[in-house]
Amino acid sequence: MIALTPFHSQAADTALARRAQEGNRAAFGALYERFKPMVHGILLAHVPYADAEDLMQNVFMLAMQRLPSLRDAEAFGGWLAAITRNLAYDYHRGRKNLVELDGLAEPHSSASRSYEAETALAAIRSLPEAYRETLMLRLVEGMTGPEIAARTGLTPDSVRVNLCRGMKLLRTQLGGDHE
Amino acid sequence: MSDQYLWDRTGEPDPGVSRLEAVLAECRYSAPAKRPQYRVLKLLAVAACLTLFAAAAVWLNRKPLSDWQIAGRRIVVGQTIDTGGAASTKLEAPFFGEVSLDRDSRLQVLASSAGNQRLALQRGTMHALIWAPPARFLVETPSAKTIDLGCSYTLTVLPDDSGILSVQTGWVAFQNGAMESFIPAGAVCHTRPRVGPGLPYFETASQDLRDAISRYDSTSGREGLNEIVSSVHKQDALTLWHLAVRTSGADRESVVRRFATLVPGIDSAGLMAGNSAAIDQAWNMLGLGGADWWRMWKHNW
Repeated sequence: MIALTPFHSQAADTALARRAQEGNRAAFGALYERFKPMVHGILLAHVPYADAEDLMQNVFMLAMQRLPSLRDAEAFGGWLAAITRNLAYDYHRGRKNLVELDGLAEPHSSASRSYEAETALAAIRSLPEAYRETLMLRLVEGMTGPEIAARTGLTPDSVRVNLCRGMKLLRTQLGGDHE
Repeated sequence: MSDQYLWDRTGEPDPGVSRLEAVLAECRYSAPAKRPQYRVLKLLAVAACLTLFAAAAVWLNRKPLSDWQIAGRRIVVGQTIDTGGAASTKLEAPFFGEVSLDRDSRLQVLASSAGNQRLALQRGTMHALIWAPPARFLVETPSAKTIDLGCSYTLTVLPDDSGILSVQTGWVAFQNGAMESFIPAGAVCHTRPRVGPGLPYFETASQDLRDAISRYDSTSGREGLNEIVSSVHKQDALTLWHLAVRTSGADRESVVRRFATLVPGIDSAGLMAGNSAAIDQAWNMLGLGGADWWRMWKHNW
């Protein structure tokens, strides 16, 4: 598999975003394919795993509706990340009205996910937000630092710092084999 | 321990990071735990594809790999993809775009020079979404080749080797030798074996105009001209522009006269004389975008 360089990847994202703004559904479909790991990773940093997939559909539907209002197609990744975070915050506001959550415990824990994975997810979620998102994208979605920077609109330096500091905190949280 | 592996997965793997990657991989979106049956089917399909690709690679005996890939597997130059009755297949080329093949379609990946891509659609239908710079993506068909000028389009090759091109966004040039058609978004163009691309028309064109264009194209211009001239409306000036370039003498005169009534201000005398500035000006007055980009790419008039 060829590794996409951030420059080319970002240029292609921008071209696709422009076409999607013109109403090209195929271009939006391509953006969906390219950005779904980022959206899923950011959602996982904020909401339980079981709800992330459903919320993903909401994120892309909202993005498609609001795309004509995006002024700078080059900012598509950062704009989509902001929509994702806002929907995650809305999710929590909605749930607080229903029931008091105990931290971010998984209400629909699945037997198909290992205890180790659940523990690691919970540990990442206990970190400050900036580290949480970056680590989810890197460790769960398998994106590299340069890819995270290109997709989210963060600077490579910020991503690198978030990864290093976040990983240091995570190692402390988890201890044992992850040291 | 260096943070290089954490940053871009190069360098010596960090055991702690590797272990977390392995543990958390099951939580990725691409491997949803909610659909175990789907996942098994997908794995089986991928395994079958890998086997086919491996067999094809051995058979083709070390031919170079192209930039195109299906499900992450690179396609060998010269390889033919035949979807048969199966569902559609998607080819991707990083930095270029995507091509989806419908069922009962056959496509060959051709050798390409650096920075360019060439495919040959032999049968069936492909949908292309290209984000590479203009004129870098070519698709050969038995009767013409398409040159992408930055767009998405659908191309079909019928059993008699004729073809149909419809453009969704951007532009496509349809070419066979000196015969060229320029097809903007919303327009369609047919191509015929040994003749090449016909006259493009917008999908909103009347049935009378479509029939007249079909007659003109199928008789190499011997019939249908008068019907075209009499049935075009202002929105069909794209067709008249192509006709003005392809005709001569009295035929061109009748086309230019009608063109001038639909698009006032064109240089009729210049068009009659085949003057390139007049052809560019007439095009620019269609409101479909300036002709400057053609001059930069190629200029046949």
